[in-house]
Amino acid sequence: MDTTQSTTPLQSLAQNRVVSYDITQATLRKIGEIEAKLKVVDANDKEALIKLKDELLTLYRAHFDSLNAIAENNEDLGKDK
Amino acid sequence: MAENGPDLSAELARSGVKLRDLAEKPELKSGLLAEIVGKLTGAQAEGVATIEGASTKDKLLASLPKLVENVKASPSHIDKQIAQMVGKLVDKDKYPDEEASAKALLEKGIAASERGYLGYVARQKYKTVAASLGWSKGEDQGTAKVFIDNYLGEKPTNSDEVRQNLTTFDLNSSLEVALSGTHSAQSFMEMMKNQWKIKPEETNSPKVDSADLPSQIEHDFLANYVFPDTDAINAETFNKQFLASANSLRGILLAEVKSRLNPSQETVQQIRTLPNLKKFNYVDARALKNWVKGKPITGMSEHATILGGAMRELCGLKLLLAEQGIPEEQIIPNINQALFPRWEDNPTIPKPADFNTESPFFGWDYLDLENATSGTLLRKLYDAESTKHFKPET
Repeated sequence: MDTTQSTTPLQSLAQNRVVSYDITQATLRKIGEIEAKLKVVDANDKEALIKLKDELLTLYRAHFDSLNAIAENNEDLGKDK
Repeated sequence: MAENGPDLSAELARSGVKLRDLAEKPELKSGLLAEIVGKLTGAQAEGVATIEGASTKDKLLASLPKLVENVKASPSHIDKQIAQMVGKLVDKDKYPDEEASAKALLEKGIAASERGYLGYVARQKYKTVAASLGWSKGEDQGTAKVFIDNYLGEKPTNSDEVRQNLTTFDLNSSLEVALSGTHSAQSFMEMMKNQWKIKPEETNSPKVDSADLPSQIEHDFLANYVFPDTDAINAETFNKQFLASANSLRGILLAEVKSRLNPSQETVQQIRTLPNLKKFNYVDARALKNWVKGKPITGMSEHATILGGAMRELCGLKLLLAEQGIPEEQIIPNINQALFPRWEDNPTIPKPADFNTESPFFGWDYLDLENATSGTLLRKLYDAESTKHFKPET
């Protein structure tokens, strides 16, 4: 997120919007990768399943944490005016 | 909670934000932020609970669609927040129209990949708002224009000015501005991969207010307001290279995918509805009709912008095929065929033999799929067209 002096709040908002979509695309791609791994993993391989589950949890949490951070940054941009 | 007031409490209750979250997030005292964060937090909590509750492989797999749904919906909350903030930030006295257009654009939730066509046209009036939003690309401005004129019921007031400007239309600068897309081929492929997981009914429903700008609306707008006469631009040289290619292009790609991948009906449907190829198809037919009748071809920026999107989709298709383990050299010949006009359907179109085999149309070597943007692709296409694409007529 660019919040440098040369960037207006509106520009930063627009950038944040793009970033939120980029993050979303990246998350969806990674979910797809996890799905692909899941499909081929042995259903009895508990260790592998737990690892994938943790990976998914971390990814999912990080996604929404990132978007929350963007929302908060947006709010700050609004206050700058 | 008292300092947040009853309305915020209700909002939070609806959105699933817990008191604990409020205590940890003092910034939630802002109602708007609370709403956004609440929705994101609610979706996060729901997904986390779903994942944590999945105790087997099958259950974990079964949880994925809901997670994908939540993730897909998540940036729309940011959109809503920004839409509401734009009104605060835009200088209403200086840019009254721009504020309206910006809000309309944002509230309609335009996806970055679907920003529209009328870059040149829109620059006449909406450049200030696009610039103020940091959207320097012509397609963003075009989308604002289309939405204002079509969805908010406002008639264009500058069509005379637009037509006047079209007489000095600068194709190069138009391409530079209108086609410098933000999506690389790689990111577009990723987007397509995700799109392919969407059920057909979700993508084919006739949503007027979505990012999927209906071609008919755009066409009507162009025909009625922007290019009411067909004598605006003689773009024959530029256009005829690729005018007639879209039908065969999409058809061959579809056949290619079907023959090699045995895709589901959903996937086939997704390919059939690839938005830019579909639009390219449509414009292609319209322009070709004019050309055959001997009329000048209009709408260069429209063609070029759509072509940019189509190229991104083709790059995505190509990468998808490659990801399936299909050697590139097996893909390229058929795609090359697709890039030629269907000359057998119309003898007035230059035959493949008339093309310069040095042209980038003959191969994908010029596509740097890791780094190329639609703008660079289109410039390459334009350069080829404008210099040596056709052999001299004999």
